[in-house]
This record gives sequence, C-alpha cells and structure tokens, in this order.
Amino acid sequence: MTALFKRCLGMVLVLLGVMVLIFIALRIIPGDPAAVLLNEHVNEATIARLTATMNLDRPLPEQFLSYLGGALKGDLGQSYYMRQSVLSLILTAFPYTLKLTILAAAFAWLIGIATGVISAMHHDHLPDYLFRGLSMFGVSVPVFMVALLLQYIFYFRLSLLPLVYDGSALSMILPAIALGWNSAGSVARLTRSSLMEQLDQPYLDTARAKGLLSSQAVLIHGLRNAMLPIITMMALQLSGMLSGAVITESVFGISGLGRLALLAVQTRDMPLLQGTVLFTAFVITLGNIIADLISFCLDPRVRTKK
Amino acid sequence: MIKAFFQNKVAVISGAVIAIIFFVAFIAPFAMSADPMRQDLTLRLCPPGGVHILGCDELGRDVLARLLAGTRNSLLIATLPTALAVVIGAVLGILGGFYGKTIDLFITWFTDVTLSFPGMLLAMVIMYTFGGSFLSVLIAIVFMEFGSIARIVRSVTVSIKENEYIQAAEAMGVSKFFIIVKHILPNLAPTLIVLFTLNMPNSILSESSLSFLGIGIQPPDVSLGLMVNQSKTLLFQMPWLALSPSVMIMVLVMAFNYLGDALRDILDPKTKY
Repeated sequence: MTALFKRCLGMVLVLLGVMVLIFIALRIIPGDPAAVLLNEHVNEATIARLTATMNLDRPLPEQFLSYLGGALKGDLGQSYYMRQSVLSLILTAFPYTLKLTILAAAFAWLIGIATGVISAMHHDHLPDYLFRGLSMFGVSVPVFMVALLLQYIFYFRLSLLPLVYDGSALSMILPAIALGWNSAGSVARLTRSSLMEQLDQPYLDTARAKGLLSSQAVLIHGLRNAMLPIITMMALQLSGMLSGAVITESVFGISGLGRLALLAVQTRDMPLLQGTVLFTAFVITLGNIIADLISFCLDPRVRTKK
Repeated sequence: MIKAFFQNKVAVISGAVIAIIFFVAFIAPFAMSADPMRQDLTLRLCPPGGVHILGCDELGRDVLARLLAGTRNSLLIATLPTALAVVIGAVLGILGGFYGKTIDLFITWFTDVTLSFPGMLLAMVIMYTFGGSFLSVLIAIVFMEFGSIARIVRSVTVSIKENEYIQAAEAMGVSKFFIIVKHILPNLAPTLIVLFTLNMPNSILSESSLSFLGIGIQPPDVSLGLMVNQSKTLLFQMPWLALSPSVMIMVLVMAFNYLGDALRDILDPKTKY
C-alpha cells in the first residue's frame, strides 16, 4: 500500500513539474505576451483588455499560482479564440479521442499479440519471418501514411468505408486502424521476444508433462507470464497513441483533443493549448498508475517486492 | 567488432541502404540539373516518366529533385537533434546514475516530467513559442527524446558502477570526473551508439509528422513530411505525389530500425531496451 501511496505522490510531483514546464515554455516569447498572443496589428485597448483579463501584467510566479489555484478547482481559463471555458472544450473533445484510442488499442492488442504468439511458437520458420517483416513494417510507417493509404484503398478504390469521421461506428474503423498500426507492430515484436523467453522455462515442461498440449501450455501458462512487459508497454504506448491521435484526428476530421491542440497552435490560443497539454499529461500519468495496478494484481512478485 | 558487423547480414544491408540514401541525397545538388525550387507551370502535375521520372507537383516542380532535397533536409534535421538528445541524455543519465541521491532524484523527476506528455503535444508547445522553422523542429525533437535516453543511460551507469574496478578506483582516490571519463564512458559507448541509431527513426517520423500537420518545416523549404502534406489534397487524382516521399520515409525508418536492432545484437547483447 505504501508503494501505491508513493506512486501517487510521485504523480502529483510530476504533474506539478509538467505545469511549470508548460507555463514557462509558453511564456518565454520575448515581447508583450498579449501582443504576441493576438499576433495581429490591434489597437492598444484590445491589448490592455487581454492583459487585464489574463493577468499578464502580474509577475510570473503570481500568474502561475493563480493558474494552479484555478486548475485545482477545475478552471483552466478561457479559450481566447473560441471564447469558451477551456475545460468544457476539452471535455467535449475528450470522448472522441478516448473512443479512438480504445479502438486503436484493441486493434493493436488483438493483432499484435496474435501475430507475436504465432511468431514465437514458430520461431525461425516461415510464419515467423512473415510476421516479423510485417511488424517491422508496422513500426516503420508514419501514421499519416497509413491513414492516407487506408483512405485511398477503402474509400477511393473499394468504396467500402467513409472517407472521414461522420459519427457512425463504420467511419471509426479506418482511424482506429491507422492509429493502432504502429502499436500493433511494437506489441507483436515485444510479445514475440517476451514469449520466447518463457518458452525455455522449466514450468512449461512441467505443464506438458502433466498432459497439456504444447500450444495449450504456451497459451495458458507462458502467455500469462509474458504479458507483464506487454502491459507495461501498452501504458507507455498510450502516450505515443495520443501523439498519433493528433495526426489521425486531423486526417479523418475527428474533433478530439489532438485537433483541439492543433487548432490552439494555429490560432495562437495559449490558454487552450496549455489546458489541453496539461489534461493529456494527466491522462497519461493516470494510465501509468492503472498499468502499475494491473501488474500488481497479475504478478505476485511485483506485489511482494520492496 | 567490425568483423562482427560485416558478418551480420541485416547490419550490412541496412547500413548500405542508409549510406546510399545519404550519398545520393547529398550529392544530388551537384549531380542533377533539375532544381527543386524551379517552377514551370507548363509542366503542372505532369505524370511520372520521361525527363521527370517521378512527375511534377502542382507548381510544375520536379518531384525527384524535391524528393532528394527533402530527404537531405529530413536527414539533417533528424541527425542533429538525435545526436544532441544522446549527448544531453548521456550527461543527465551519467550524473543521475553515478552520483545518486538528490541529483538522481531531481534528474529522475525531470525526465519523468518530460516523458509524461505525448511527444507531439510537447512539440506543439515548442512550435507555438518559436513558430515553425528548422530550429524549432530541432528543439522539439531534442525534448521529445532526451528523457528516455537519460533513463536508459542512468540504469546502465548504475550497473557499470557496481563493477569492482570502479570501487577499486574510488578506493584509490581517483577523482569522480576521471572515473566517469576513463571507466564509465567507454563502457557506455556501445549503448550510446545503439540509442542514437534507434532514435534516428523516431526523429525522422517526428519531423515528418510535424511538417505533415503544417506546423513543422514551412514552405518554401522542402521536407518529406511537407511534401506529403502538400500532395494530400491530390491523393485520389495523383497518388504518386504522396507516395514517393512516404516510401522514402518508410525506407529510411525501416533501415535505421533494422540497423539499430542489429547493432544492439552486436554491441550490447546483454542489455535490453
């Protein structure tokens, strides 16, 4: 339990660091922040009004503390461009990104683990070579290339699936595959190497000796032990997926978090960018803790480790 | 070690592919008559074949010349920040792993912070602050990569530090700086080489993704991601425009991934990362 408490404390410290870092990074622009924010030739009054509403005239530490205080109460400020509360914009966009990420992760797990297991069980034979080549292809293609290729094949050539996201479940298939593609490749690679390590273990001989088929022994006992590093990696991949979501959402026109952040950069909307990045960092940290909890439940060795 | 490299088929082939692409991309401006910037509107969107092997883009510029110029820029913009990220990551990792205690806690915390945002969003913060340019893409890639490098270097340093010869050197009163330079660094070198090779594909992908989104390299500069971005509106009419830069990115990334894997097997068979 103390380990878990320490983990949560660490998470708070990391989030605080994230806030400081984003806060500084967005404010080291030389010159009047309000003028930079507006980025156009506007009159003095507009600049003065923005400076006052965003407290830009106060010293940086004071600005930070008031932002921190607001964030703790769930107030991430007002979006300058959209003229709405940043938090409500984020909460409207987040479900789309969540849905996309979960579907992509499901695709990555399914394909990645299946091909990884087949590779490991037939290692150095034809299926292994085939799937190893495919998984290398999986980790090496850029997300936007997969996305455009899928659009070209399934919309333009075969006219099977919609070009962009239109709210239907069908139109979520291509984005999910595009986003999950890279992860499927790395899950397959890790599943293969992790399972190969288990294949030499004596407990598999025991399982076979007690009458299980070789494949049963591998799937029931071996895979369970091989899963630990895979689960840890999936949590780390969450961060990569949210990166990829920026591209996937922009290609398929899904109004999720990534597109919100991109819009914030394009419209120079600092409060919105700041809020989106902070919220994403929060989600990732939470994901890491959940992954810890899962490996905690799955493996008694982690539980008893000091 | 060099012998082991040449005995490893994967290493030789991927290394050769990378060397050829580097060579062709950097020799092109001297060997080719086509100028990547020269517009000729009479040749607008000419299909591949003839003098213009890969066709022309919507401004009548030769796609092959642009592809090579883009490859050159993308390689430059991947190599520099990767090297920088390895240096910064190595310094932080060695400091944390070797000195331990407060320094270690602080460095671990700092790397955890940089690793807890998605790289793309971190990059977008930097793009917001500095605008889209070579320099800001470079800074963004360094920030995206040095954290994980520092983490690995730290753990390898800790395991090197356990060796008896380091304890012996410490007992003899050798200065810490000398121990780092003389004992830690040479032992870390293989790890650093592998880390550089394995981070190159990430850099290439990051640069091309940022440019694809339109917030990385800006026109009139050329980059592979930007070329895909500029041709995506013509995806269904002229798919070859988006194809050649995409395939170039993929080949480069694949070659570096294979080379990195092979180098790890050759140089650093015990460590896993």
